[in-house]
Amino acid sequence: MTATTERVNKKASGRQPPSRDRGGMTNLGQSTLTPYLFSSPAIIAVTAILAFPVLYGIWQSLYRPEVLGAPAQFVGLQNYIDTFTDPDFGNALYRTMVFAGGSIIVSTVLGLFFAFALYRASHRLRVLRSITIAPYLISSVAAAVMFRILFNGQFGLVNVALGSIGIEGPVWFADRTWAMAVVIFTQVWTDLPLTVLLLLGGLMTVDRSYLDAALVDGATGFRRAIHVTIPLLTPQLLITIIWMSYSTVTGLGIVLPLTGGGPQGATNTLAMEMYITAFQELNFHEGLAIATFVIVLNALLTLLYIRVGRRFEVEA
Amino acid sequence: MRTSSERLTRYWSVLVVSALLLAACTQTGTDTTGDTDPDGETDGGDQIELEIWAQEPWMLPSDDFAGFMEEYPNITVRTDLKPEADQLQQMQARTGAGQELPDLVQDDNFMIEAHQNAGHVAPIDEWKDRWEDEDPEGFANILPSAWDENVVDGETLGVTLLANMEGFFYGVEWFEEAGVDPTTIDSLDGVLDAMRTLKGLRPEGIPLTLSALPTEGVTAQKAFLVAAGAEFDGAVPNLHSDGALYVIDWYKTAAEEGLLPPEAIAWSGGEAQGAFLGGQAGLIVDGIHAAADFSAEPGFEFGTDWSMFPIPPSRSGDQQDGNHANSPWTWFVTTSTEHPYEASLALRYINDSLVDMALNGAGPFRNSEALEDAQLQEPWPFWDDTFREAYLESTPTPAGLNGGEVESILEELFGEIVVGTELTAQELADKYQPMLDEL
Repeated sequence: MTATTERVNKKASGRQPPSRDRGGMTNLGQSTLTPYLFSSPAIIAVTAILAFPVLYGIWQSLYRPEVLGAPAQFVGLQNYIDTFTDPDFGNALYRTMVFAGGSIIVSTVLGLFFAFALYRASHRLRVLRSITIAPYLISSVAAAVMFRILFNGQFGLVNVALGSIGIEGPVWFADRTWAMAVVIFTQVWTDLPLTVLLLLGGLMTVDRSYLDAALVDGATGFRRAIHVTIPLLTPQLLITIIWMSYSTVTGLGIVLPLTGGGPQGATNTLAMEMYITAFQELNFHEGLAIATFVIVLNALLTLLYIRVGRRFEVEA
Repeated sequence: MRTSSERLTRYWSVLVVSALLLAACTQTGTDTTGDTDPDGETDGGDQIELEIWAQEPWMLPSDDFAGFMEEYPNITVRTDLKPEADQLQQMQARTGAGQELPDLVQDDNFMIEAHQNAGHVAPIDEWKDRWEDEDPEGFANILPSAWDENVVDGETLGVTLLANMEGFFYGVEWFEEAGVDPTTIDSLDGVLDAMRTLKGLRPEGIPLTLSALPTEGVTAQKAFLVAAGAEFDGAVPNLHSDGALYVIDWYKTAAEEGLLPPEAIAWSGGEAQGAFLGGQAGLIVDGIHAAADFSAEPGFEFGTDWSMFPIPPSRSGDQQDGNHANSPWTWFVTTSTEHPYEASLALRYINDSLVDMALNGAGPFRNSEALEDAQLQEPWPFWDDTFREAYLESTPTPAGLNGGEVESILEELFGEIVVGTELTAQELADKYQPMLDEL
């Protein structure tokens, strides 16, 4: 390209034409390293805050003191072997799957129900959308304490209400099945607002032309929801499921104050087992082994959800 | 095109920003500790700062050492509260980070061995001898057990000034209605009989409330084991011993007869206390320090609404089978302190403040003079010769470094009893003893 051509191009476009590459230098004379140099303080800070504790925890899970208080010695995978061979760990893993599965299913179904309802709400009822977020503003510990009082076998409001209609309520927290049901209910109660908002947001992005086309084809509201709307909500459903899964697998805020993992280990999730191992039994390093397992489990579950979700994803 | 000077300016800017960030991340501090001369005398001229850790606010003088700092103007005391499970870990983290440890720390007595393994504990024999020389009266009031429990390999590692004791708090009105005189209860069988009488009078009531929520601990149950004469190997009970089998059967009987609430499996200490305060429960086992909570409750008066009696150290009343149990906390001076003498002075101040601490919610202590102080009638109106004698005879609840794991298993055992089980006491012992033996 001649210099004349360059000047013409510049005049036409009002922009400087790109110069030839000179060993990594752009036409503006910027080093390709410059962005990284300016970003490095932020990268270092984020890495230090987020990645270092995780990596340090994983590294410490390979150590164990011979006696409590003594310097930790490298034991390799012994903490993991002891953890995986402990019957309490197997029970905790099973309980976690029950807790997570139950919470995801109930939360997703209720979330869809409320999202559809709020979507169809008239203008005057749109204040309900703001009210929906209220449970999410309450801390999980506060919610757990509240539900422990509500479901108290003697004076809880739930049993009092049941008693008023002639039904003798169970001793919720002394029964293994009911205790898990209450834990799932409480978890769903605290996380449902986020689910509803995500799905409601997704509903608002659904192209009405698909719904109109389905209506023309004779599909009822329910069939449109099942075959048109919900498939189009796959991305939002995926986010919801991933979030609920993470929240239940790692969460301690509900289980610890609500049941402490009881009765008889019926609600003893992996997070509770980790807490008991580290802070009650003072086996900190074995607790870190459980924490590392939880990280890997969360990662694998997320990959599974994404893989399965892609099969249902519909291009709009 | 940018000039080389602009490029240079940019590179210098990046370097300066990075340097500032690194400087901000580097901990800086001023050394506020004063000099201590070789003899350990506190130097009246230089400022000395002491950092003191305790688990609960009532384990410290209520004036937060204000009187101590008035007496020693060159010493500044900074206190911090650390939950019991946190102290060892935080101190190890400090050591790992190259930071200094606090000067004076209070932890559960059984944790001293762990702190010693971690290199945190400094022997205090020198400061103990100076205490005896400089304040013989104050020193003489400290019970020998306060020192003896902390002697390891001939060295005194700390002093146990506070040691709580469990007992039965009871509802006076319900007991009077039932015609049960607590002063005549001299055995655990007698307590069970009293509970049956209470239940007969008020079928909807809870004769004995307790906290069986996992992670709340089994302090009351361990006190029963000690009272019944159960055998222990360190912190590990022998569930097949006569005393342990008796306690397991005692709880089973109470649960089967409806004398214990099955929902207690989900009750924390606060809820168990709430049932007692609300009049639904006739008895609760708790530490003497809980008397301050009950006394503070409006409309809940000692003598008319509640009172207390010690856990009988006998199963059937024929003989003394066990002991009263206490839960001791030990103060120790750390190895990194530059002012061990000043730390020991703070210990003396704590020793002189024990009655004041009781007025603010503390439990009993290992100080003979303080135990007879008339002011104790205010926080502990039940405190009489019987209680004082029981306390002086009490022994520390068996404990050890595996105490946390033992507690987890005992929680499972007593939790199974509370919710109901078909297994006999022997079968329960057979089920849980192997788990305990693995520890």
